Amino acid sequence: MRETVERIHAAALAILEGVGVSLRHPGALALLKRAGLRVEGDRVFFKPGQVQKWLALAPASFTLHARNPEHDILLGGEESHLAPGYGCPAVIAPDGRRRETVLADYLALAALVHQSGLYGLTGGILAQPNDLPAAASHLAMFLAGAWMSDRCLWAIPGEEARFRETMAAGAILFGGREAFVAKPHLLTMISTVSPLVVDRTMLDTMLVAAEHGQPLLVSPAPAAGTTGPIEPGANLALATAEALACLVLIQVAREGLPVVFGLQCYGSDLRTGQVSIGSPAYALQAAHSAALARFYHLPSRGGGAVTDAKGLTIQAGYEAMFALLAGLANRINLIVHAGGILDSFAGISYEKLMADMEMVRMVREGFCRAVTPPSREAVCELVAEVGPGGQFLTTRDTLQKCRSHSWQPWTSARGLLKDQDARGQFLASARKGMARLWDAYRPPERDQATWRGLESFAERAAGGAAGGVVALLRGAPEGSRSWLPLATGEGPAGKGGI
Amino acid sequence: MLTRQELTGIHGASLGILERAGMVFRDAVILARLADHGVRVQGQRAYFPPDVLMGWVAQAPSRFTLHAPDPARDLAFGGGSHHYAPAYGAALVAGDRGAWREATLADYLTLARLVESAPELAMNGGILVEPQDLPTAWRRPLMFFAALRLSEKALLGIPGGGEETGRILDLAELAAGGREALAARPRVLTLINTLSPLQLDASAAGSLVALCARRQPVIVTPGPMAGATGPVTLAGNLALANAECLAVIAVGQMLAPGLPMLYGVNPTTLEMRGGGVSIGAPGFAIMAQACAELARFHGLPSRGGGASTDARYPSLQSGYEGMLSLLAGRQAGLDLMLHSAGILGGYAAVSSQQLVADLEMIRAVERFLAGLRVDQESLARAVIEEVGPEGQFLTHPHTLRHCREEAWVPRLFAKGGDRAEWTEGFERSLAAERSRLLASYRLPPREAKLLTELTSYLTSLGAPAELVADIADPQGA
Repeated sequence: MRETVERIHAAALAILEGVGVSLRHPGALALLKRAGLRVEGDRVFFKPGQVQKWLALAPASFTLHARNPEHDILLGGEESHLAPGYGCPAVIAPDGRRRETVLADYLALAALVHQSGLYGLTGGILAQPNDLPAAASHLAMFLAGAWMSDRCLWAIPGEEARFRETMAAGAILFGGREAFVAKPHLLTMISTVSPLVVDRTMLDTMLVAAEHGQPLLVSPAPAAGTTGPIEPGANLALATAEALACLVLIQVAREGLPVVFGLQCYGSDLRTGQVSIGSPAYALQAAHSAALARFYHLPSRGGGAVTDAKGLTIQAGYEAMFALLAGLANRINLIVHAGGILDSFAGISYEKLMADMEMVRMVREGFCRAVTPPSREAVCELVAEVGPGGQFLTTRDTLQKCRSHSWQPWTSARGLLKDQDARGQFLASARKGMARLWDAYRPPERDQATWRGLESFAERAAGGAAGGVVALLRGAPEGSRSWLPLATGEGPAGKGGI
Repeated sequence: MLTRQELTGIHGASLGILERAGMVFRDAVILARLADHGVRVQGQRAYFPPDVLMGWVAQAPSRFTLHAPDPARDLAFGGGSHHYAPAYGAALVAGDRGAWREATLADYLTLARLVESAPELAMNGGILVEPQDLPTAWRRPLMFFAALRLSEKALLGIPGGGEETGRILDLAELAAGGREALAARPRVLTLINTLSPLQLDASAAGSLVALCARRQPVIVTPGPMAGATGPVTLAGNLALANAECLAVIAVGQMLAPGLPMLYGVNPTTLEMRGGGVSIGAPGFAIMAQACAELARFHGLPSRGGGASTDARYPSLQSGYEGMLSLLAGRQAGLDLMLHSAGILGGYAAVSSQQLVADLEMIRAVERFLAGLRVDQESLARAVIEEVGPEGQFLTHPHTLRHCREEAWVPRLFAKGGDRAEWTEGFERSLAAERSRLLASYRLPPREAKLLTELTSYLTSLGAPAELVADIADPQGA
C-alpha cells in the first residue's frame, strides 16, 4: 500500500507542476501569486517543494467543537465519526417512488440522526427544503440543524455573501464572533469541478472559512471514466492533485487551519455515464484515500453507506454494507453519507436510514468489538459444569452476560415468523424503530437569547428571504409521531406546512 | 483480529475443557480406538490428555487437493486459495415473492445447474437443498447421483450415518473407478457436525468412521450457539468449538492417519428474543474470522463464514448481513466458505434469487481485494495533461482501452424507465441473470457404462428407474 500511495503522490505532484489547476477567483490567484506560485491566466502551477512546504502546516488532527462539549469530536485520531446523508433533494419510498424533500423532512431526519447517538456530525444539507425560497435555504438548513441538535454541525458552502451569513449565524450560535473564530466549530465540505477546476463559490467559501478560522473538508470527486481517468490509480492521482491545490491555498490563506483530506473517487456506470457509488471501485478508492491521508498526516474522509440501488432492494444492503465496512475497517476519520442514501445520492430514505443505523451498529459495536480472551479457568469450569449434552441458556454466566454479550438488532428481522408477511416485516420493524427514536427525542437546550439573536439575524439575512424561518422551527411538533406519514412516503399535508 | 496471546488463551481453554470435561462419542469403534491410544474413556466420554490430542492433530495435513470430475476444477486447500461453495442443508425454498415452501427434487436439480454455471462457486453437490418429496431411504444417494451427473466441479458429500455415507461413497467409487482409486485421491468432501456441547452423535460418528475407512476428506464443524449450546461470550464459545473440532480431528487421524481434514469451526449466536439461531449478527462474522485465525494457528486449512443472513427473503437485510459475513470471512483468509450463495433465514431456506445476488457480492469482494494497479500506463499522467482542466475522459482512447478491465460492470442493476418500477426493475434483473445462468448450463458427458452402474445401484436401493433415468439423461436422448 505504501508504494502505491507514493506512486499516486508522485503522479499528483507531476500533475500539479505540469498541468496545474484552474482557480476561478481573482483574490485566490493573487494570494497564491504573492506566495510565490506560478500563475498563468487562472491556472496555477505548483512545485513539489511548495506543496510540501504548505502542506506541512496543516495539523494532523483537530477537535471540532459542538454546542454541547460532550459531543465534541476529534478528527485525525484512531476513531471514525459518522455523518448522515448530505445533499439529497428527494425522499425515496421503499419501492423506489420519490417526492421532493421539504423542511419537515429535514427536521424529522435531524431528530432521528440526533437521537440515534450514532452520528458525530449532523446538519448540513441533510435534505433540501424545496418548500422554501432558494435564497433562504442555506440559512434555513443551518438553523434547522442547530435547532434540532447540539452535536457538531456542518456549514453549507456558498458564494461569499451567503457563506458570510452562515459564519455570522455560527458566531451568534457559539457565543459571539470572538469565541466562534477561536476554535473549529463548523466544518464545510469543499468540492472541485473535476478535472482540475475549482469554481468561484468554493473558493469564496475557502477564503471566508479561513478568515473565520473554521476547518475545511476538501473532497474532490472525479468519476473514473468521465470526469476522471478510467484507471482507479490515475483517478486517485487526479483527485489528490485537486485536493493538494486546495490545501495549499487554504494554508496560504491561513497557516495552520485544520483540514480534512477526503477524496471521493467514484466509479462510472459506462452504460449510462452516471456516477456509481455502489461499485467495489468506490470502496477500493476509499481505502486508498485513507492511506493517502495517513501519508500526508491529515484527518481522512471517505466511505459511507452508499449505494446505487433505486429502492430498498438487496442491492441497497450489500453495497451499503460493503462501503461502510471498508470505511470503518480502514479507520477513516470521517464517514459522510453513513445514513439514508439511495440511488447514487439522488435521494434519502427514512427506512434506509434505519437500516444504515443497524449496519453502523453491527460493524462498530458488534463486529469491530474485540473478542475478550477468556480466563482459561473460568471457561473450563463453566463448560465442565454444563458437560457434554448440557445447555448454557439458563446458566448464571449466560444470564449475567446475555445483555452485554449478545447482539440486539434494532430493525433486522430474526427467527421464523411463518405466517407473517416477510416483505412487510422489515419495513414494519424499521418504522417501529423510527417511532421509538421519535418518542425518545428530546430537543437540545436552546438558549433563549441566542435564538432571539438568530431570529432577528435571519430577518435581515438573505435579502429578507429567510425571515420567518425561526418561527417555522418554533412551530414544529418536534419528535412527534405526526411525522410518521413522512416516512411512509405520503409526504407532508401541504407544501410548506410543518 | 486475535493476537497470538489471545489465540493461545482460547486454545489453552480448549485443552482444559477436553482434559476435564471430555467429549462424548456415541460410537463403539471410536471409543475403542480412543482407549487404544491413551485417551481415558469412561462410558462414552473421552478425556484427552493435551499432548495425546495435539500429537494426533499434528498428523492432519496442512494442505491437500480435492479432485473434481474435471481435473481442471481440482481444488487446492491450504495453499492460499480461497474457495466459495453454495448453500447447504436447508429443507425449505424461499420463492421470489418471499413465501417459503418445502423443497423438491426439481429445486435441487435447478440449484445444481445454477451452481455449475456460476464461475464464482468452486464446489457443487452436498445438500444444496433437502428435497422433501422423496423417501428418505434413497433420497440422499439420489441427490449425490444427481450431483455426479450434472457437475464437473469438486463435490460435497452428504453425511447421514455410517450406512448412508457408505452408499454415497459407493456411488463415488463407481465414478472414480473402484475402491482403491477413490481412496488414493480425495474426491468427496463431507461435513461432519458435532452436537454441542461436547458430543459426536451416533449418526455423525458413523459417517466419520465410514469416511475414514474410505479415506475421504472431512470438514469438522462444531456450531455451538453462544448462549444456548455454548457459552454466551464469543471467546468462550470459540474455546468450546475449538475443543470439539480438535477432538474430532484427533479421532479422524487415529482412524485414518494423514486424512485431510478441514478445521471448520462455525459457531453461531443465539437470538435472545426468539431463542433461534442467528447467523446475521456481527458475532457470527467475528467468529468466522476467528475460525480462520485458529486454523492457521493449528496449521490446518479452514472452512467458515459465507453470505449468511437471518433475513427470510432476498432483501436489504440479506444484503447487508451477507456482505458483512462474506467480506469479513474472505479478508480473514478462510480456505473454504460454504454457504456463500443462496442461504436465507439462518440456514432454514435457500433461494435462487438470493444465490444470484450473492454471486454479485462475491464478484465485488474479489474485485475489491484484487486492489489497484499503479504503474505508468494506469497512472495516465499524459492523459490527464492532455485532457486538462474542464475536459472529459469518457471519449479518450485511454478510457476506451481500459474500460472493460477497470470499470465495474454490475450484472445486476435496475434499468431506467418508469420510476415506480425501479425496485421491480432490480428484481427483474435478478431473474434475468438467473435465466442467463441456467441457459448457459452444459450437461457434462458421462460414459454410458458408468450411468448404467450408478442407475442399477440406485434402483437396488428402491429408487424408481424412471426417475433415475430422467436425471441420468435429462434431455431424454
